[in-house]
Amino acid sequence: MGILNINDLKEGMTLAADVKNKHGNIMIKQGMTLTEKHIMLLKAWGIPDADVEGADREQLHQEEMKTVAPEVIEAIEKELNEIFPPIEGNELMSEIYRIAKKMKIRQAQES
Amino acid sequence: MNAKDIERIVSSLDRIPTLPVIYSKLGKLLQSPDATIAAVSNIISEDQVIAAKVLKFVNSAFYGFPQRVGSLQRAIVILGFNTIKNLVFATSVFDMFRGMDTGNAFDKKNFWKHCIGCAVAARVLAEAADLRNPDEVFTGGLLHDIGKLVTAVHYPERYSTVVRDVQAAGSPMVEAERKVFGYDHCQVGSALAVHWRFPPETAQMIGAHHLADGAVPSRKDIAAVHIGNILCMALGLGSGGERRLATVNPRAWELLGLSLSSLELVMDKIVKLYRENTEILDM
Repeated sequence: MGILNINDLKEGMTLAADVKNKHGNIMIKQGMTLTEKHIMLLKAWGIPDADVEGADREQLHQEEMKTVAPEVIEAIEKELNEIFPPIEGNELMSEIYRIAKKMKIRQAQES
Repeated sequence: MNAKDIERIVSSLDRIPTLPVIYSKLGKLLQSPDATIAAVSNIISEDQVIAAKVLKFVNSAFYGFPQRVGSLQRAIVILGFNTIKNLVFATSVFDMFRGMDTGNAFDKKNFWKHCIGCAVAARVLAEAADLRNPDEVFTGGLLHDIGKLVTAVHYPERYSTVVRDVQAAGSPMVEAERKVFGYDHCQVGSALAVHWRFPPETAQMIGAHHLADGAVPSRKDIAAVHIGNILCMALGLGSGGERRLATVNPRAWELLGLSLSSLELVMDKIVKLYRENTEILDM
């Protein structure tokens, strides 16, 4: 099991835990196999992530990186490093950096 | 900053742009007891460009209505008087500055994109944090850097120096501005907001959005504009002339009360809504 971001959820994945909203109400039960509709609903409900069986965020990230040329990733990192202040030790800024990089890589894949 | 400083800044900007008639008409009407939906709709429909923007805005993904809203009156019912006023105001400010020359201080198109990016980001944050006034936060974000524009219109040469310095040294804009002018764009922006008789909350969002080291944000809307400004820069949505983005004030993040795991969804939403909004506001 592993926590996956809503954007990384795919049809056919199995929930390893109940998905709850911020008030603690169960929205989808553990053991459900996700459909396209589930994922759409989760996004509409504003639920940020879900616990999925056999998922590994790090591994998923690695696989995604493999589909992009290393020089593209390097260029994106260079671009971000130029505008970001030092982020070491700052959890929030590191997370912003990580997401900005991920989104730029995705954009590069699409174009 | 006290009243005297505000006066000094506003009076030093001798060509303060006057707002379009429609805004003052609308402001007057909304303060009077005759403010009916029909009367507001009449004023807005005098300006077809603004009327069209109001309709586009109410039909945008921000509101997510299943059916198209076709009439101005219905749009006013949905958005409410305050939001309508904000929207009319924001579009008129944009239009007012469209024809003005900022020399080569900055690329105006990129600057507007930055303003829209910050507005969208601040609004998405405000919604995620359950603030009660996301539309006002949107206006605050849209206008957060208005002080830069006004200063650049008045002193294009000197402002070009500021931008050049910032690009060369990577120092924050506010510091470079204070060195050259003795005041920064936050002060000019909030002074203008007072001069234009905006709601005090808007003036504060404009004046405090940088939250310098150790500053404690007093309200969640200020925190949302502060963080929105940084997020839109991280995502590369337009440019306000800054070379480096600032570190998020940890107090501001705490105040909004969002979790780190919600950030990805927030940033994703910002990028999607940004694309739509740049089309609506037609920059």
